Amino acid sequence: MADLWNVLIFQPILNLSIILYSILFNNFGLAIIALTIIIRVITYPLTIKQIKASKSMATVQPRMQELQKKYARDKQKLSGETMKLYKEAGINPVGCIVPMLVQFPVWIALYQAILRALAATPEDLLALFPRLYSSPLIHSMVPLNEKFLWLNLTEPDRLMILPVLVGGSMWLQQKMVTVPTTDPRQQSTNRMMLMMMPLMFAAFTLQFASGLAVYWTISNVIGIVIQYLVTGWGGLFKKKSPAPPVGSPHSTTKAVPYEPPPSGKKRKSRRPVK
Amino acid sequence: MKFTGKNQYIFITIMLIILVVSVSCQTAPARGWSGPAAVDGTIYTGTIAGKVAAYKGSNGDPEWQTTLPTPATSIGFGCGGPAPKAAIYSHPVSDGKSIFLGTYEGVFYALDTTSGALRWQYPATGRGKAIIGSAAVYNGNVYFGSSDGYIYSLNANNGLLREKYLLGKKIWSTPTVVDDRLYIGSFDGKLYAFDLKKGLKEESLLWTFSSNGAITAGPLIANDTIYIGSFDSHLYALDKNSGRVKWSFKGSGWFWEAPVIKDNLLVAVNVKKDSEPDKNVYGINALTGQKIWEFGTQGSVRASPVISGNTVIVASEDNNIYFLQADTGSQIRLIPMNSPVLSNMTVDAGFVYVHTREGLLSAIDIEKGTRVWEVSTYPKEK
Repeated sequence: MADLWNVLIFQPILNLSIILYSILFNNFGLAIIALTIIIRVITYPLTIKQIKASKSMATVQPRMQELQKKYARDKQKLSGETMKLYKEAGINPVGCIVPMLVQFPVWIALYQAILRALAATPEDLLALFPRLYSSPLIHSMVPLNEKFLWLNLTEPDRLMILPVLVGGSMWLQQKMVTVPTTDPRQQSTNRMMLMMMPLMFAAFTLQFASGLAVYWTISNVIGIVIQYLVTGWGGLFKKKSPAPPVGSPHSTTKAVPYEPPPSGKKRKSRRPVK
Repeated sequence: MKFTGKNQYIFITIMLIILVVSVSCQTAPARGWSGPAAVDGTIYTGTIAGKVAAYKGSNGDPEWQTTLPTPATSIGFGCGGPAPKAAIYSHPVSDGKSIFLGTYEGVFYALDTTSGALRWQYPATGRGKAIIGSAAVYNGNVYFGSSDGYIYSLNANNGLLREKYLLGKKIWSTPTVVDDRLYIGSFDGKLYAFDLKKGLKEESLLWTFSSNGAITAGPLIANDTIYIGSFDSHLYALDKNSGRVKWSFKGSGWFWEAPVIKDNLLVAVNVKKDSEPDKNVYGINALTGQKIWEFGTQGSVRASPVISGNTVIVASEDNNIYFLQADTGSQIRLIPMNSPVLSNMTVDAGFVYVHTREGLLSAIDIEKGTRVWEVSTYPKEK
């Protein structure tokens, strides 16, 4: 298992980052940025899938709430009806999670690559040798230069700029992807997560090598751009919650039957509302 | 389970916690690999407990041990938590009065040889960048390189800074000082030669030699020749006065530490991939660079070998100590140590002293291949 991890994930990321370092003026900060862009390009189809899944999820929210109300006392029935609704709407509930899952191993591998390639400790440098490809170019590059702007990439940012950038960019992205809801419990969860995730990542940034925080910041910025291009600003500038679900006590709209999209027909991405 | 709403967030949070634990556990904490040094029948070593300890060379009886004061470190998520103790990679060196060594925390210490009392430390307060290489003592000064890219020269008596000179990249190499000249390698792949009569400054730089990889090894000087290994997998023989290459020898991996020499036999070792059957111990003609013999250990060899009589002793990461015939490279015996050996060894009075990764210090009779005594420098707390 450890060998699979090393051969398939860690070593390619490690060696690619060293090659990028040699191309980008022996600057590991630039190499991390380039690596982030490459990873985001590779995972682009998954990101689009995630955004579309979230968007579809938002469109069925009113119907979901109807079901929740209708089957409040029958969890099993509610579960069945929910899955049926997802199926009708062409939503894969796991679609929101997969891109996130794909990024976890990348983060871990990148973190290890940063510490080992930059020789944070002698043990890290010693453990690096077996993981390098047999290329004189790669061997001539290590250990890499750890300086980037004001940062030592093996250490947390002492000026506290990166924690703010990571937390801020994550909040922005989170705010854009948050699915508007009228369910008070869901609203409370959304509010909590909107604050908790950026704070958690900012806290990690205080602790981990700043090279990883550079990756997070750039990755978030790319995520924000992609999100904007696909769905616009999303929940960022929407001050009001969407109309309560049809049929709810607060609704002034007449309930209309839900129509699932025709199967096989691709839904177009919505451009930002101006 | 539905991956929506609350469940989705809970799932992501759990994954984040797993991430934090994973990354913290996957990286190697700085533990140190200080090796033994023999001075007047006493064995001194840094330990993974952040101490410097002295033992009687003849029977291993403890003489003293001193815990090095550690500057504060940040609180970590790491598996072992924050490191409360100093990590010591450098090997003790002595001028007779003091034991000198530096720590990963960036503090350089002088301890009294007889009592272990702290004589001075540099800097006097706070911390610098990691000091990995060992020091060289010469003419009342102590010289060492640091990860901040400087070579330091301190007064050996009081620890006051005499000079420092910036080379640029990290310096993990141990300096060698001979005939008023100081030689030291750097992560920038260069070996620098300074004329100490002029001090450590731009004008005193005599020459530099550039390799295609980082240099962590200390230079070995013999017969007007400097032998230096590099991460470019080459061992170079350089003219001592000009830095001109006399010959080079290609190994299978990084030359992390200095080679050793006896007569015209040079023995050098390589860091290698455990899974590959590469040879990583080489007997080389010191005059021509021709390979005389080669030998393969199961694991990497980071530490310098030692030569005693006709025996070459090699410590490996594969938990073994190898005894080889110096003239043929054939194996005489293998001594299992139950732990990797990354520290340099030392030979004194027919014994080789070995300090393992897990803190076992052993005295081995070279002739008989038997352990004469062993002590734990890192006793488990009860």
